Amino acid sequence: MHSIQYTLLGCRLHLLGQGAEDGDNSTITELKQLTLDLEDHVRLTGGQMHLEALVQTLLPYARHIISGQTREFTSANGTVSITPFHRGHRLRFQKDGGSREKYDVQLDDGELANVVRCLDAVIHDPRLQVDITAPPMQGLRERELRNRLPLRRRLAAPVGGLALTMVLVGLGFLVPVPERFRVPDSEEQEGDAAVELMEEQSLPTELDTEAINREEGAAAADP
Amino acid sequence: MAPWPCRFCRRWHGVLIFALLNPERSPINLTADPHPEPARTVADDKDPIQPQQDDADFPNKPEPRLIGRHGLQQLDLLMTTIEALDFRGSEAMMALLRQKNAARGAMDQVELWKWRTTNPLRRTMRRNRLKQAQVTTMVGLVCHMAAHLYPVLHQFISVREDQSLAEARWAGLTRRLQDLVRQRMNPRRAAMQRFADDEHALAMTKQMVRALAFSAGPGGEQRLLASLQDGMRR
Repeated sequence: MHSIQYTLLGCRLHLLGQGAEDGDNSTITELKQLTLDLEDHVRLTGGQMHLEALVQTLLPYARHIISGQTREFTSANGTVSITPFHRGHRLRFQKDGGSREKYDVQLDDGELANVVRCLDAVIHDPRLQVDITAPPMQGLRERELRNRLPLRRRLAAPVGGLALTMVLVGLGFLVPVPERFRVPDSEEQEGDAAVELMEEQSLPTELDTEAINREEGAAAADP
Repeated sequence: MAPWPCRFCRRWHGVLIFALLNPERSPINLTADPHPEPARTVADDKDPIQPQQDDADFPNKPEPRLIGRHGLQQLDLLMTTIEALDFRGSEAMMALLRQKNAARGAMDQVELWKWRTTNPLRRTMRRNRLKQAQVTTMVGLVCHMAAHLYPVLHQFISVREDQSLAEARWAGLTRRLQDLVRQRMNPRRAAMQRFADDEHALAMTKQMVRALAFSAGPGGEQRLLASLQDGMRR
């Protein structure tokens, strides 16, 4: 068994596994156990799955802290999760040995920064030849940065634009219509009369069937 | 059959017909590539397709922007915070930059100042765009300095410290940062006018110190660069 230890201001990450001895340096190719001691008040133990989960959750979480946009992160297998809590952070870490119980640890910024730096050291350490890589980091999208601006400033532009449009439309109604587009009253009356006439003409006329029959009868009687 | 010139335009169309009919006797090789690649010479050891080192200094070559306006502001503010944390911070940064760029050539304080004046909040602002290599150098510099100052940063962000002592420490740092900002930044900018307010300045200082603490070390470069690119992705 070979071991590698990373220590930073009260945070100690101890990795134990199988590997090769190369002079003074020992390399780990198969990780068996990790032990994370935080300021001598918490001890977390786990395996390679836990180390991967820590890397997958804590590093993106730290990246969001730099942007000032903290939110909850949970590993894909649910082993580790971290969320903002009061003035610090709440880390839930599933216990080793297949149990569903979880450690519930509250960390301040200093402790979390120590753990993050230890994980950085693990990733960049050539002695640890285990397939653990940091997740890719990208800039946040605009919609993810909504909280950066206060609500008043975010609403100022659309509300101002809408109000201005309404004021302009209202002013448009107040402006009188120009004379050349106005229809004179006499023309309006004539127009009405013409419409009435057309309506009268277009009315269906009833046929005087009695008179027609009478005429037809007279015509038939004449030899 | 010999080639002949065209009786109308006096051009040698017949050469092509002759070549088509007698490919092995033709002076024109139709099977060969019409645009063959020139043979490599000993002097020509560069691959023309791959980007070369010389291309990087080509003045008119458009280079995609690595960080935006907000990123430039943040980067300069982080450097100013380092200077507020450490009185000899600018000299330390300069020494580190000289050490890093020793192979490339001379790197003086004026050059670094020119890079930093791309911050739009500066009193004297330069509108030129920083190259990607310059941005990554500055990010590396900030992360290295943060790692150097990490014990101090840890004291600031740890809540296990004595409360009154921590408050006094934050107040002192905020005052120093406000002084530096007043000296260097354009006071007509709204962001800088807000910085004159103590409460806002304290909140900004806390955010800067947190950012420095979480971007300390070699692993922090990727995180810091990603945070400087905030808002650039649609």
